[in-house]
Formats: sequence, structure tokens, C-alpha cells
Amino acid sequence: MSEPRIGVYVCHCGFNIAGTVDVKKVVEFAKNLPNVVVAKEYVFMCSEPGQDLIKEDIKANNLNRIVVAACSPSLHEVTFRTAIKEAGLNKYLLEMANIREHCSWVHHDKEKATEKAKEIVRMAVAKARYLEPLEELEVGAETSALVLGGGIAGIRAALELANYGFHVYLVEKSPTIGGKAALIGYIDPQTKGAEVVSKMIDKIKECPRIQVLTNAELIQLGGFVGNYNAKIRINPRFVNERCTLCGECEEVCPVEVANEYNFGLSRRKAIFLPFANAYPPYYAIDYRVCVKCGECEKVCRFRAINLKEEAKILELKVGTLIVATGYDPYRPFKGEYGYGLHPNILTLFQLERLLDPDSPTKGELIIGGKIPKNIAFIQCVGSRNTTPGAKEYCSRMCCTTAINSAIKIKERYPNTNVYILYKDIMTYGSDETLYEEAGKKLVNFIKFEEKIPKVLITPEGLFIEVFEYTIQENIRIPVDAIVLSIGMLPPRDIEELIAVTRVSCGGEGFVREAHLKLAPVEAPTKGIFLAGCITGPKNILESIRMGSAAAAKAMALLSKGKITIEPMIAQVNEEKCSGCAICVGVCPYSAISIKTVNGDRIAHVEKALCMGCGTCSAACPSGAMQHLGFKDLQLLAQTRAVFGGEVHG
Amino acid sequence: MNGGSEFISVNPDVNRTVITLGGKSLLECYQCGSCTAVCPLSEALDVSFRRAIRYTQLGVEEKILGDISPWSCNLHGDCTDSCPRGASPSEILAAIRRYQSIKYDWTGIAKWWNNSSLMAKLFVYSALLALSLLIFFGYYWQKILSYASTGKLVVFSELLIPVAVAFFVSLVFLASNGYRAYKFMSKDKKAKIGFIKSLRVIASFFMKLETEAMGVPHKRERILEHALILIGIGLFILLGALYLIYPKFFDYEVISRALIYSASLTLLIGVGSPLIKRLGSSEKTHWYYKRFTHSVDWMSLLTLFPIAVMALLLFIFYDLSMILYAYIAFALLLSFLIPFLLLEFAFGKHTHWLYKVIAYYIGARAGYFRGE
Amino acid sequence: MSSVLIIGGGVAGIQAALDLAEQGIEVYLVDKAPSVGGKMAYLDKTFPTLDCALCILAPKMAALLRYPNIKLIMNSEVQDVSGRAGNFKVKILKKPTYVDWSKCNGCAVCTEKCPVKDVPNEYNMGLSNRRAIYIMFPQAVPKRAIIDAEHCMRLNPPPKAKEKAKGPLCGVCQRVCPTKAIDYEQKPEIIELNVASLIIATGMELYDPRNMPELGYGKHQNVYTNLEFERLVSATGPTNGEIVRKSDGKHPKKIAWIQCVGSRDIRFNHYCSAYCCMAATKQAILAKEHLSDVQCTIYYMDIRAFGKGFNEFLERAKKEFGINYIRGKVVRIDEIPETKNLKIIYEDTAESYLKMDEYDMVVLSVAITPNSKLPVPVELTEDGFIKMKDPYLDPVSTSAEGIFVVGAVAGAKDIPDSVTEASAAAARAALIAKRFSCPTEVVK
Repeated sequence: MSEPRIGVYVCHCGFNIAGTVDVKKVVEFAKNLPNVVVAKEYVFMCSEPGQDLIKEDIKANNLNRIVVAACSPSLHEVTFRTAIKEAGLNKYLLEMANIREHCSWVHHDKEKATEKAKEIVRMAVAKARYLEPLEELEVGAETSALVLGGGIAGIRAALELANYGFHVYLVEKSPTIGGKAALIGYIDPQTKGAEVVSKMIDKIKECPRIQVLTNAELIQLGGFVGNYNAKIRINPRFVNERCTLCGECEEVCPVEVANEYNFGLSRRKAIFLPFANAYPPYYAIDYRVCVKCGECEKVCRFRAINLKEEAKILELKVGTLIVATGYDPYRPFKGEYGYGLHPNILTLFQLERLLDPDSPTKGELIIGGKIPKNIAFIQCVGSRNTTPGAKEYCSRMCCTTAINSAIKIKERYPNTNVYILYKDIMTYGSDETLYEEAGKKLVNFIKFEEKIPKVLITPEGLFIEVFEYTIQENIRIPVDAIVLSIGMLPPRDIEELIAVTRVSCGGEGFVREAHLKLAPVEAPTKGIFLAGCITGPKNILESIRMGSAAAAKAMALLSKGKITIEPMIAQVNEEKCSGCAICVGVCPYSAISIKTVNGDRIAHVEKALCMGCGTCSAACPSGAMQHLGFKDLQLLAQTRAVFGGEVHG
Repeated sequence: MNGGSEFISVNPDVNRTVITLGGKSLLECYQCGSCTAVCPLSEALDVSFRRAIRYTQLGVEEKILGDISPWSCNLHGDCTDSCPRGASPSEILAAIRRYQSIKYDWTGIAKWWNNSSLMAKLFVYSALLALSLLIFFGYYWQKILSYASTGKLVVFSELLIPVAVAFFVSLVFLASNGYRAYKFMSKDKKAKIGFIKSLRVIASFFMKLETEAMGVPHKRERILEHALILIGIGLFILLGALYLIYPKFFDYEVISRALIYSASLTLLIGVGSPLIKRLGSSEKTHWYYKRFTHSVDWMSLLTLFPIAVMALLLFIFYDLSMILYAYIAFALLLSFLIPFLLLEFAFGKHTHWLYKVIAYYIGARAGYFRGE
Repeated sequence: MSSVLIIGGGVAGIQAALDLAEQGIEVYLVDKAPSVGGKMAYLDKTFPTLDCALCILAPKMAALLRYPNIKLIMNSEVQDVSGRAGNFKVKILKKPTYVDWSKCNGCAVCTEKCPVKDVPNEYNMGLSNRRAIYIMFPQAVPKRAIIDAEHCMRLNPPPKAKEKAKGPLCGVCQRVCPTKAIDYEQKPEIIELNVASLIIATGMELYDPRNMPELGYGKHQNVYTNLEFERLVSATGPTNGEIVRKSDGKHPKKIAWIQCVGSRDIRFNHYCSAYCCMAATKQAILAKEHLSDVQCTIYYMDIRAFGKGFNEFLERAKKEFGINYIRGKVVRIDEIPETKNLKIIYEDTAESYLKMDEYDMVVLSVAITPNSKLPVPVELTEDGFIKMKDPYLDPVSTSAEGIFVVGAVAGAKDIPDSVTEASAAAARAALIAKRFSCPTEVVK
């Protein structure tokens, strides 16, 4: 490599940097640093003229290293890399000196901040002297996708990708796809959840590129973006496609459990059909509760039941993974607002189910044997820190859902008094019209704040005691039924999901997206996308759109049939490596293995798997493992630039 | 209530009742407080119309009955103009007042009056009227003829006895209901200032309020109508008092005639103007006349109107020396007065003067007026 | 390969363009402004993470330039759309910029030399001035100068000066331009395109609070809209981030935010504008960060903290920053003539009587209104948003096949929801553009 000729470019970022850092002084300082040929300033380096300035200098002064002192590399490193590439330089011969987030934004004293900025630039220049050109790798990519979760978000993503030409595996852990939306009576005043879902399922049925795998779980995900190896366990259903839905098996089955598809409002047998339009349209045996008595097998005339069926493992090669495993409804503890202590206290999901024509009451609002005269919804159960076990977040959908149900109740039972006890009504956007409509339909709203309502179960009946905020009085409301508007929880098995897919989890327990604002459907790991409530509470429409959006990202990633891999990854110096395998143990991405080359044990890095975290190079006792772009030599030069000392290399 | 518990029980049926009493948009209110904030009263008076509406939405009965804010409403209508939900707080408050009047009345007549249809009310009114007519044109007919033959108008005579009885009966109802209203409204409100000071506070408040309202055309129109009715009735009472105390006054013919005619005309115009506006449906008519079409509102005008007409006719006939006709008008006037007193005056919308006075007095006494 | 036209270069339009371009689809991105960025480019920070808005948006804006298959058509408006899915004919009016953008390099010399100095700067909501030739904002993409013909001495000379002068006036920019890019003769241009699909991402405007004269906006100097306040706290704003009052240049001690100005009100707009509660919370926090002794109060009816991280943000605002929240709708703002302070009138719904509070600055959280008046054959909702035909089964589609709608023009929403919709539309438009077909959803 020829003698380094470094150009240093200091950005004002308007007043963001120039307000606290004396940019001129930094430029003068930089000019005198070793190997620096030019040093310049500009008001917005990232703007086109700023970039042009660098490009022209590279050509005019034959520069071969560039230092840009500006903002965080996470923002504009790509911009400047592209710029120097256009000027004919290898794009990795760039070093960013972050004098904004690390300096101007966090300091007030202009003089000291300027000194610090100088030091940051000095370090960057020191490192830049040792920068090496790196090359990106390209690998082939599968145009197939694994969609995890067969709710509406997953179904939507699958449909979108299949239409685009991808082969899609839709993996659902329960015996049917459709998710919770299929169980909701009315998702808006005119639309039945079951109808929407069955129309979506109809499309799935007709689409040969979608392979639906129910009773299935992702148990292992190997490989890397574009080339994932997914291991799927398919739990036995014990019923095959010969099933005609005659239902005789159900009658003879001796096992009875609470029916989760009716949110516990009714009971089902161990062999059951989840709901009328379930897909695949066969009965299923719940392997967790079945006692294998064989009664069903005996009675089935179509030989559709095989109790000897075993779990199968399926290995798939896919290019991308879309995680759409949804949420769990909040689980109120026994006694939370009287939950579990009185038959007339139910959850919002149970009520929604009741209002579905396919429900145990055929869509009639019959609670505790009769139509309630007074029914009250309590909002924020499990959300917004309201109850002891509650989450801090707002569950977003419960206000609109409760109001929607209240309107439905008022339409069908005008003599029933409906109360909604709320903290803040969250009918954001156009849903406000529902809130307006509820007033016209004589739904009564009661606001509470810190003091939460109390449910009294007395021989005379149910009462709610609440401190009404807008009249500042304690009031007692006689009610016949109480609906707890429960929020959303991260799915119960999110830990397993994280372990298998290595997505990460935010403070509230849902999966974290790459950027809350601008990358809401991308996981921080390249190649994994997120849809629906797995990233946090959403309503049905938002989940559907997220399904399409995640599909778009997968299309964009894989449409070329190949994937570019960042070269800033670990590299083994085979001469120095002793094959101690410490790196193998510390690698969080299982990217390192030990290979025997000419009888020597040597670490081997699978480039496509390496995420460039640097753990291995830190752990390597011999210095054989080097992180490209962050080699020991480069980092030492950087640290010695601040702390003094010599660099040998 | 509730065995001394600090929790107030709500009555879930109250809101339906108030809706049928004319507060159609009661539950459309989302409690923003715009009505209180835009009301010209609020600056001087610590009341919350929003809270009154919430009490009613929830059915917190004891709070509703003790609330003076519905009675402090003077129907300026600013709240209805600026309600973000398009609810009509002034109508809701009128309905709450009806609900309160029903509850203040112990006889149950107010309940019937406020809940029955216009036809039913007219029917009962007519029945009472027929009875009165029977008294005056049957029982007293000979008397009237003999008075007429004197050529003079003898106002105070036994003809007045039935009216006096009706008046007395209605006063008994009013007094007892007023006492109940006083009890409801003064509960939990400590007296802070004395009686005379209270009156002064109210007077100065009204002066300021009405002066301000006169600046707004549609408000001025209604204030004038209301004032005409008040002045008309007031003048009649004044004339009656003069006749009793100082009959010689009526010898100053020009002045007394002027007074008499202005009394009759003011009343007639005060009642007739809103009646005509309500009956007509001109585009220009303020929504106030179109919205307040509860049968109780109609009855308050319909029962007063013939009285005003007969009073005017009485003096016209008298001045035309058509003494018999004057007496007939007089008898008719008295006949219309009896059902008016027994129904409208004792239980109808006209009771608002009493409840309003009580509410304002209690408010003033409890220090609801700011800056006093 | 067919192409897709995106109308509107805000964050939604940018995202849709990037997602489509990455698949190799040709994209036209039209915006009526001279730069992409939309409303998000006006913001100082974003809630709930308090990220610098332009810092996170600028990389996306810059990325547009990296794709050869993205064509930016700035300062232009769509005039006519005909045809149907797979083959739309679009007519675009490209208004003159009087600067040859192929030559301009954004050096900004002209914008410093232009003698017309008193044109209200739209980017700073009129709180500062710009020249007649200007670059919309420093990080503009593309960073190109544009002449505001109405205020230019050369193109629209004042009548008196015109009479006196013999030849053409001024011409300073032309003289100083190092690349000779100024072209006073530029004419409007009609661009005709054939595209397979359209994505409408025209976003929103702020509702004009002058429709509520009782709030005194435009009359009382220290009443601001929330977007004006956003510029005021922004380091690139008119005061370089210093919060000062218009009337006397002093720092405010008490600031009030008034929610639902024009939203949730049948007299103006029925809908909730969805962004304002969190925006006000964010602005109150920013005010606290700028002026540590300032008292911030937000007047609300329901705090809509529905999104991811929103309620946590709200709790932080209350506990960590001491922001007050008072439940009550403000009905009137009076100016105190001597101090130019503001008296706000409302009922505190917890205390149940009318209150008047004095502030030295008031910020109105104004509603949004959709930019839906477009020559595109799509149906609107009652509220004037573009209607989604069947949001459950055919997401982000309008009533016209092949035309999709994303972002705030389809209903009030915040940035992540707009971005998600943009990607969703990219997926659906790509299907049409690439003409892939599946037996289920055959593109007709």
C-alpha cells in the first residue's frame, strides 16, 4: 500500500457542530497531523456540494484515505462511502470521526469541546493511516420465505410474497391458521372477523406457492440471510385429509377441556374442529390432552384418524424469515377486578367471541343465563400501569374494540345500559367517529385516573365502585356483567422465538425493530422481518399492512437472487491460530468452526454468518482473529493517538 | 343513602328520563368543558354545566338535585354554538331542570306535566278551563250582568274568589316545592355571606350579565321578549296594588290608561313574539326557537297568551264603553287564569322563577359568586 | 420493466421509492416542493425516542440519489391521470425553477448575494426570511437553488423600478453563479409518463387555526402553531434553537400547549389527528431541555399515547420533566395588551369551574388536513381522506385499481405507521409493475 495521503473534512452540521466546536481550529489542527494532505470544512458535508468537495479533492490531491469529522457513522457513513467510491477509492478507506453525538451535542464549553473534537480527529487520522481496502462478498439467495405465525399479518405477508413469485412456508403452531382475528365477532361495525379471515384463507387455498404447515414450530434456524436452514417440527395432528368433518369422533371423545377458541366460554373435546372455517379443514387431536383411548379411531368411518402418528421434522431452505407470531391476551390474575370469582365477569376477548354468530350463544349477548340490563367495560386492564400486574404500555386496540362492541350491544339491545370506564379514550385517527357514534347510541363513559375501579361481588349482585374524575366523586354502579378490556402481552413463547431466531427484545417484552420510527418491520438482524403484534400492540388493519410491508422488504432483499455481505467481519490469520477454539464458544452467531488444515486445527469463519460483532477477536489469545476494519493495529493506533506511545506494525 | 357509605349509588335510568325530557344529546357530550368555559355566567359564577351534564349522564341523583348550575343557566346558547360534539348543552340543561322540577314536586303533578304529551296537557287544561267557564258563565253570570248594568268596571269583587282560591292553592304547592328545592340545593353548602349582601351580589351580577348580553342581537331579542313578559306581569301586579292601596290613581286617566295599555301590550308582545317565531320556520329564526319545542315550553306560552289577549280586550271594550263585552272579557280572563295558576304557574315552566331565585340565593350565600 | 409513480416525497413517499428501487423497479417521485423530505423535514426531534428528525431522515433522502432507477421530479404537480392498472398515462406540470438543475451544484453563493432579503421563509414557517433565490433547507435533496419568481427583482420587478430602469433589472444571481446555472427564461414544462402503478403519498397540511378566531392565532403575537414551535426549537430554525417570544424576544417562563385545535370537533374535523398529543409532549420536553426553568402545561381531553413507547414517554414527561397535564378544552385565548402575555380560558374538568391561566407563550396543536385534492380518479372519505377500498383484503388500495395510498392522506397517522404503509404499497405496486401473477390474485 502506498504512503497514506489523508484528507480530513470537518462538517459544521449547521450549528449542530459549529455551535459548540470551533470548526476552523479543528481544520487547522488536522492540517498538521501526519499524512494529512488536505483539511477542509463545510456547512453540511453530507449535502451534495459537500460530497463533491471530497470527490474533487481525491482526484486533485491523489488522496487515498478520507476522514470525515461529522455525525455518527450510523447516519452518514454509507453516504460518504458511496461518495469516495464514486471518486474511485475503495469505499472502506473512510473513517468517520463522530464530533457531533460524541462531542458537540453533549458539551457546552466551546473551548474544551473544540479540544475534544481535535482529539477525536487525531484518533481517526491515526486509524485512517492503517485502513485497508476491503471487498464486499456476494452470495446467492433463495427466493423463498418462511413466515412464522398464521394470523392475519402472516397470511397477508405470505399472500404478498407468493404473488410476487416466492415460495412461502406458512408455519403455524396451532391446528389452524387464522389467528385471533378469526375469533373476533366484529372487527369494525360492518365487518365480521371470521368473514375477513375466511376470505384470506380462500386465497391461501388457491395459491400453490404457499405451503401451510400447522401444528408446526420452528425449532432451529441455521444459515444466514438468503440461505437460512430452518428446522421445523410438525407435531402430530392424528387426523388426515380424509376427514369429512362428520363430527362423530367428537361425540365419543371422553376428554373435555376449556375451548381456547371460545376463550374458555365453552368446553371442547380432545378431538375438535377449532372453528367453522378452520384451515386445513380437518379435525385435530390436541396431543397434549388426548388419552389415546382410541374411541375416535374406532368410530371414524373414513379412516381419517391415526393415533400412531408421530412428530415429524422438516428441513427447509429459505431466503428470509418473517416473524408474525402475534401476541397473547393479557391474563388477569384471579380476583383482578373480580376475574374468575363471578361468572358474569369476562374478558373483552370473551365478549367479542360471544358476539360472533358462531359462538356458544349464537351471537346473543347472554351472560350468566340472561341478557344483562347493565354492562360495564373496564379499560386498561393490564395496560398503562393501571393494575398491579399491568404493563406500562397502552395496548392500542382495546378502546376501539370496546367501543365497537358497545355500539353493537346498543344496536341489538337498546334497553341495556352500557358503561365504559376509561382513563383516556384512545380512538386515534378516524376511529374517533366510533367514539362519536357511541355517544349517539347512548353509551355511557366514566373516567377514572390513578384510583382504579373496584368490583364488588355481593349477594345483591355486582357493583363497581369508582372515583369519577370529571365529577370528583365516588360512585357505585350496579351492573349485571363486567367486561375487562384486557390488553396485549408478548406471546408466551417469545423466549423460544428469541433463542431460535436471535431477534431481540425491547424493554416492554415485545420484539425490537431495527428503528422504531423508520424501520418498523425490520429486525436488527438482516434478513429477518417483523409483522403484526410481535413488535407491540396493533389493531387488525395495522397488522395487515405490516404483513404487506414485511413482504416488500423481503422482496427488496431477495429479488436479485443474491445478497451482498459486509466485509467488516472476522478474519483468521491461519499462521497464528492455534486452534484453541475459544472463539467458537464466544461467537453468538455460530459462525466459527474448527477445521483441520494439513493436520493443524484452525478456526474458520463462515463469512456470511459473521455479523461483525468482534467478540472473537477480543477473546483470541494469540491475536490470530482480526476484525477487518477494526484490526488490532488500527485500534491501537487510535488509542495511542490519545494516550501516547508508539505504533508498530 | 347507601347506609352511610361514601359511595353514591347511581341510578342507570336517569339519563333515559332526561333524554325523554328533551335532553336528546345528553350522552353525546364527551366532557370537554367548553360549555362552562364559553358561558358568560362562568366568569362571575363558580358553576360547571359540564359537571351537571355528567351527573345526569351517570345518574348521580342527589348531586343532580342539589346542583344549582342548571338553574343558573339563562339560555344564552353560547354553549350550543360552540359544542365540539354538536350536542346542545342548553337543551340538556333545560331537560335537567325539568327533571329537577319533577323531583322537587311532591305531588307528582309536575312529573305528569313534564312527561305527558301536548295533547294530554291541552286536554286537562281545557277541562279545567271548562270548569272555570262554567263558574263564571253559569254560577256568576247573573252577578256579571248586574255589575255590567252599573256601567263601571268593578275589579275586586266576589268574581275574584275562585281565582284567589286557585292562586292560594298554587302558592301552597309552590311554597312546599320551593322549600323542598331549597333543602336539596342548600345541602352541603355552607352560608358564607348574609341575606342582604347575597341579594346585592345577585343584582349586580345580573346587571352586568344582561348588559353584556344585550350587545348580541339574538340574545337581545330573547332578553327583550323575556323582559316584556316580566314587565307585563309586573305592571299588572303594580296596577292591582295601586287599585287596592290608592284607587284615586285611576282618576288620572291618561297615566292610568297608559299604564294599563302598556301592561297588556307588553305581555301580549312578550308572549306572542316567541309564539310566532316558533310556529314559523323562517331561515333567519335563531335555533333557540326551533330547538326548544318541548311541550312544556309550548304550554308556558300557550297558557299565558289568552290571558294577555283578554286583558287587552277588557280595556279596549271598557274604553269603548262596551261594558258587557268588557265583563265578558274579564270573565274569560279569569277563566283562563285558573287553569294557568293551577297547572302552569304551580307546576309548569313558570316555576323556574322560584327555583331560579332559590338557586341564585343559595349560590350567592355559599360564595359561588367570584370577587365577592 | 414497468415503472411506478409516487406522488409526494415525504417520509412515506421516500420509503416507498426506496423499497421499489431496491427491487430494480423504475420509480418516479414527484413533489411540489423543491426538495424531498415532506413534513418530517420540518421537525426538530421525533417522539418517543427524541431522535433528531432530519438526522434519521437525511440518510434516507440521500439514499434516493444512490439509485439510478429513482427519478426525482421536484417542484412539480400531477395534472392528469388516465388509463388503468398496468398502463397509466400521467401528465406532470414541472414549474420553472429558473435554475438549470443539471448545472447547479448547490453551492449557495447566489442565496447569499441575492439582494431581496425579506421573503418569508416557508421552511421556518415564516418565522425568518430568505432570499428570492434560495435552497429550501441545508440538507435538501436534491440540493438545488430555486428562484421565487414572485419576489425576484428580475422576474417580477417592482412597477416603479421597472419604469426607471432601461434594461432588465438585477441579475445578481446570474453574475455570481459559478456554474452559470441561472436561466431566467425557463418555462413550465409538461412531462408525460407511462407508469404501471401509482402511489399517493401526498401527506397532510396543517389546519388553519385562523378558522377559530377565538384562539387569536395570527392576532396575538405569542400564539404559535405546533409546527412553528417545532421550527423555533430546532437548531436549524429561525432562532438557531433559542425559544424566544415574537413580541419581545424574551425567553418564555410559562408555555401552554392546547390540544385538539380543529380536531375532534364537529365544527371543523371529526377525526383525531393522532400525532398531536405525543408531539406536544415531545415539544414540552424539548422546551424543558432548552429552558430549564420553563413551566410547561398541556391542556387535553384524552391523552392519546397509543403507539409503541408512547405511554412510557408520557410517564417520563410527567415524572422526569414535570410537565403538567390539565384536562379541559381551551375555548378562548385573550392577549393582555401591556405584556402581550396570553390568558387562556377553559374549564378544568377536575375542579369543575372556569379557569383563566396566564402564559407567555401558547402553542396550538393543530389538526391535520389531507392533501387529497388531486387529479387522480380515487374516492374520498367523508372527512376528505383518500378512501382505502378494502383495507382488510386489499390493503392500501384505493377505489381505482393499481393506485395505492399511504401515509397521512389516507388518515391521520404518525411516522412509523406511514412508513409501514409505504412499504406495504411498495409490495403491492411491485406486483403490478412486475406483472407477476398467482391464480389467486391475478392482476387483471
